[in-house]
Amino acid sequence: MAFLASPPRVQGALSNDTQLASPPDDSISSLAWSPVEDYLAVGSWDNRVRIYDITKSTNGVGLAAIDIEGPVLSCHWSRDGQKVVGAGVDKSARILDLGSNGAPAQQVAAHDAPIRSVRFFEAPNTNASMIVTGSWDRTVKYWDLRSATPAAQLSFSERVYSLDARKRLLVIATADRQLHLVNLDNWGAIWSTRQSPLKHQSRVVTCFLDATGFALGGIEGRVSFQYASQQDDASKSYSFKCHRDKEVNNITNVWTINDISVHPVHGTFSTCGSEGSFQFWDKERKCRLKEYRDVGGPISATAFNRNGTIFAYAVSYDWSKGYSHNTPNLPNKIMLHPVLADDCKPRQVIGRR
Amino acid sequence: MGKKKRGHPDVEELLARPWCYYCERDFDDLKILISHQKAKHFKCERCGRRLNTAGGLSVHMNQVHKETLASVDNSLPNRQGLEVEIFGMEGIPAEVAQAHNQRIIAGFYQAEAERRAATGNPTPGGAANPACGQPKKPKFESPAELKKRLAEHKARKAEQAVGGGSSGGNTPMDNSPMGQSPGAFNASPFPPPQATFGGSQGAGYGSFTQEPYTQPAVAYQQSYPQQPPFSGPPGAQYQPQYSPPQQYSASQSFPPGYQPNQNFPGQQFGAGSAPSSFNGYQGPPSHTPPAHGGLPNRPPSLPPAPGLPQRPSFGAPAVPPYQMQQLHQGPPPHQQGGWGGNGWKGQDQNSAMSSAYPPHPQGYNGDYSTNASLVDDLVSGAAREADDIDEIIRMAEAGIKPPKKGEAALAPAPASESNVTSAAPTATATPTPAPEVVEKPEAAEKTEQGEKKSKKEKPTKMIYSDNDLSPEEKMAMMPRYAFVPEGKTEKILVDAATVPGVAGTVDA
Repeated sequence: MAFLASPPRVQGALSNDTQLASPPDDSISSLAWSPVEDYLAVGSWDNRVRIYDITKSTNGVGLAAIDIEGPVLSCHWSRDGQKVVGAGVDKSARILDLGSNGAPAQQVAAHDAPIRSVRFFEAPNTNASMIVTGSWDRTVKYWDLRSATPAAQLSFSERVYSLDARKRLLVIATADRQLHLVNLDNWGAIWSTRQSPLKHQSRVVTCFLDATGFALGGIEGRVSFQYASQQDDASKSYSFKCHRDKEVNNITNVWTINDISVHPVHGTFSTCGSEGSFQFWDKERKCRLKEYRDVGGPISATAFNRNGTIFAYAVSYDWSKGYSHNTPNLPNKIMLHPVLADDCKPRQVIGRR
Repeated sequence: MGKKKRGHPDVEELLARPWCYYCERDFDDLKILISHQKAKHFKCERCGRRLNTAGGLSVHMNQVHKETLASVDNSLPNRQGLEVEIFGMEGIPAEVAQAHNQRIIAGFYQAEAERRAATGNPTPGGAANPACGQPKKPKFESPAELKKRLAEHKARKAEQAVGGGSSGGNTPMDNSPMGQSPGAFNASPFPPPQATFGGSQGAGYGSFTQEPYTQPAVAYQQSYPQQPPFSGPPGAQYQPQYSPPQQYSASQSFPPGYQPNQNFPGQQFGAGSAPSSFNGYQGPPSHTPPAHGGLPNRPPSLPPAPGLPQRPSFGAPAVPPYQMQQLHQGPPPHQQGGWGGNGWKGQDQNSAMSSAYPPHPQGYNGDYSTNASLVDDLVSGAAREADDIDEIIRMAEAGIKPPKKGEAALAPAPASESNVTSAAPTATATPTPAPEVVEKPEAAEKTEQGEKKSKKEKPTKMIYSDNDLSPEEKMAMMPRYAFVPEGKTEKILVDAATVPGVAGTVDA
């Protein structure tokens, strides 16, 4: 899908990015900002979720940590900013209550295989905080935080590779390139299933700000914006190529999209790739807003803070090139990029229908 | 899509055209717009240099010629300001853009209404507007010619009765002109009314079997003068109104739009199907086409084009029997013979189609909207079918990869086939899903080969190309990351394929 003939690629400046002090020791798998304060939770392959306080200093101060027994693959904050959940290869999800003054994290979920994604959401009718976990054991389970058995469970044909929840929409991407949409008011049933428009493995799904659809990124340098309702899907969903190098000697390198984040105010999107660039996109205008290249290494995770002023991205090896490329020299850092007002603002829609 | 008219762009296209903020002209292309702006508005008078924006021009004037620029050249009086930074279509203030769009929309509909008033075509909503008169005067045939046509028609009917019915559906018409373009005035005689009906695949009518009306048709003609048969078949349609004119028009070289009964109640001629139905018919008088003798009963249906979505099949909305009577009693009595027969056939055809369309005893308007929504469904269904084809292609391609995916490849295929059949259940007759299904894999294969070729020309190297395992899974399998719960040594899954595969990924 071609983009509008837009002005030449606007390269962004990375000079103002600050680096987080005392980052984790190993690759970072996920980032999550607190919705109430500028606290950043970082999940990493060193078996920890570290929580940094960015409010006082842009280099961050370590606040708390969740230790789990295996590498952390996903972390998320609760709506009230009081709890952080981390989940990973140890097949469990643990919650740290920040108000509990140092009490260790409690395990709240268990699966048969590593948990790939975890999200907080509001339970229907009660609005109590619950978490949903998606795992490589092909199930998605809902947990209320008090009991050891899941409140409900969904089974799929393949491993869950990514999921995201926003408002009442839960999107799950599985390994067979299927996308499942669940209405959280009726969480026991899969509301709709569709084939991924990408030809290769799905890597990450992220819901739109208004939960009318989701963005899907894959390993093949392609992102798709999908709308949830059938009607919108037929007319408005589209895919586009990104994170691909310019052709050199007739070969184009195609990189994986590791994460997609939504700007909480503007609803614009960011994608990051294993070639070390992150880009901002405007879904409505179908154009790229800004591009930031060569941050120094593959970007494995990104997140906008709660008001969209800071864009955090983690530079660490994401295994895109296999075992042999994991050298000790690879950077492993978290950078905080100040988002200027215009950087991520959607372009003015010019009278096109 | 029903609305596109040749030579007349529709609203979306008009709105999408780039236009110049300064002089309110619109252009085919953004590039043309930009070069227009550079040449007319951002050009320096003194040295002829073309700048990119008004601001740029003002700076140039200041620096090079030490003059100040007051306003933009060649622009409308209210658009002369220098403060608005316009480049191509960028920078146009929202209100101005919206006002512009309103003007376009208003102008478009205005022009459309004028055109309609000028030609007298019924509005797409089927709104009857008899007040605008009948600019298309019905052309009268002389009684002799009519009788001649009637005789020919009867002869054809008799022939058909003898030849026996044939199954309506996909069989391409032997008369090539007939089969290929419903819009063409084909020479085939008898089948025309049915043929075009039956040529639903092509012409957008439901497929009809000819059997029902062969005998009854013959019988009917005799009993025409009584109207009772009209009430018999359920869900009468308007097609019968057309058929007689069609048959006669060929001999008289009537324009396709000939409607002898212009004053039919409710102007039941649907916008979409009406004109095409006319064109598809042709007069019985032309018995001459050689193929006619062969298979007169075959409806000329276009073999569904491979890869194309099914044409939406229009059926005639049901016209209550009494309206049918009126239609048929309208024209002068001597015409009725032929009309009656056709009318009867039409009804019968519709009975075949009645399963496709719910009979609407109420007025035409209701029918039209049903048709419209059905068309929309069909179109979107067709779009879905196209998407299904894409999916099949993708799945087929993915299916080339590890055989594990083969199941996944099979699963969506029947699923999408069932999607297809469910997407167009009512409007397409049963034969169509079969050729569709056959065509889709063919189309899929062709497109797939095409895609493969294009991929070979532009080799892309996927940095991470393993479709089966995510990078995290690979990492998790490594010993240093593997989760080993205390107390038992967990067998770390070292997939035999993975370890060499990990290295292999780099090489790939």
